[in-house]
Amino acid sequence: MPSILKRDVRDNIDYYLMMLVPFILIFIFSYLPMFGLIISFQDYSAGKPFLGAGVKWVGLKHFSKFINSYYFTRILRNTLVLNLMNLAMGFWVPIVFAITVNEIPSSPFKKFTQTVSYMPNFISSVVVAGMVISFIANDGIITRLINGMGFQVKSINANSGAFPWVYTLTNVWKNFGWSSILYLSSITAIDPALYESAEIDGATRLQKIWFVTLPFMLPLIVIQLIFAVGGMLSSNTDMVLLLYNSAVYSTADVIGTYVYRESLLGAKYSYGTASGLILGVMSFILVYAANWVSRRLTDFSLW
Amino acid sequence: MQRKKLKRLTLFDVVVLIVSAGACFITIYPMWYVIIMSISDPVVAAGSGVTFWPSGF
Repeated sequence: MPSILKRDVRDNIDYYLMMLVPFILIFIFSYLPMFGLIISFQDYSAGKPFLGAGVKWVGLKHFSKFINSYYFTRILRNTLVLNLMNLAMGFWVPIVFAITVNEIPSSPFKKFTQTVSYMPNFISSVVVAGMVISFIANDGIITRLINGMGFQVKSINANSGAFPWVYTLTNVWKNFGWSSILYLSSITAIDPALYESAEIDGATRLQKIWFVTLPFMLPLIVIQLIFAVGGMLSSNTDMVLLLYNSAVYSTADVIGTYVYRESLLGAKYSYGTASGLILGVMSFILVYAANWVSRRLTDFSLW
Repeated sequence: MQRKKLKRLTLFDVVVLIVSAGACFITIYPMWYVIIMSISDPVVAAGSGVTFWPSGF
C-alpha cells in the first residue's frame, strides 16, 4: 500500500498543501490546548508546572463540586433557554430575509437593503452592547417607547425576566443580515429555467418560493441547523458577558460567563477548567444527537 | 403586454417592500440615533428632545 499512498500524495500534492493550512490551525488552537485540561484533575495554582513533583492530584473533586453546586442547574437552564430562544428567533429571520430581499422588484433598493443589513455585523459586540444598554436604561429610547405605548416599565437592564429578550433581540439584530448572505447565494445558484417553467405551469410567486426556492435551500438550512444546535452550549459568551449585570444573574448567567468569573476572576483555575470540560462534553453530545436526528429524518448530515 | 405585466406592482411586491424597508429602518435607526445623540446638546438629548435630527450641537 505505501506505493499507492505515495502516488496519491504526489498526484494531489496541491490539495494536500491547501488542506495543511486549516489542519495546522486546528491543531495549534484546538488540539494543543487540550493538554491544559489536565489541571482540572489537580489543585492547580498559577505558575506551577502541569506535571512533576509538586503536583497535587485530586481526581474528580472539581467535577463533582461543580455538578453538585447550586449554580449547576441554574447555569444549564439559562444556557439552554438563551440558546433555544436565540435559535427559535434567530434561525428563521435570515431565511425569510434572504427570500424577501430576493423578491424585491427594484434592483438599487435590493442592493441598498443588503448593504444596510450587513452593517450591524461590522460593529464590534462591545459597541452594540453599549448601545443596547443605553437604549434600555431608564431614560433610554426603548424604555421611553414602551412607556409611550402605555406599559409602565422601569430599568429593563435590571429586570431578570427581560434579559433573555434583550439578549435574543440584540443577537438577531446584529446577525440577521450577515447570516442571510449564505442563503442569498444559495438562492442565486438556482437555475432560472425552473422559475420560468413554474410560471408557465401557472405558479403564483408564493408558490414559486414554496416549491422552487425552499426545496433548493433545504440542504443548506439543515446543515446550518446542525451547526447551530452544536454550538448551542458554547456560543455567544461574549454577548452575555457584555449585556448582563449582577442584577440579572438568575436568568443571564451561562456556562461561559460562570467559567470566566470563577476561573479568571476568582483564580480557581482547576474548577473553571473542570466546568469548561463538562460543557465541552455536553456540546459534543448535542451536536452528535442533532446530526443523528437529521440523518434519520432527512437525508442530510455532516458526516 | 409582457413589459406592462412586469412593471405592475402587485400586493406581493408591496408587502416585500414594506418588510425590507422595515428591516432597513431597524438597522439604520439605532446607529443614526447614537450619532445624533452624541453630537446633540446634552441638555436636549437627556430630555428626550432628539428623535430624527440633531438639535443644538
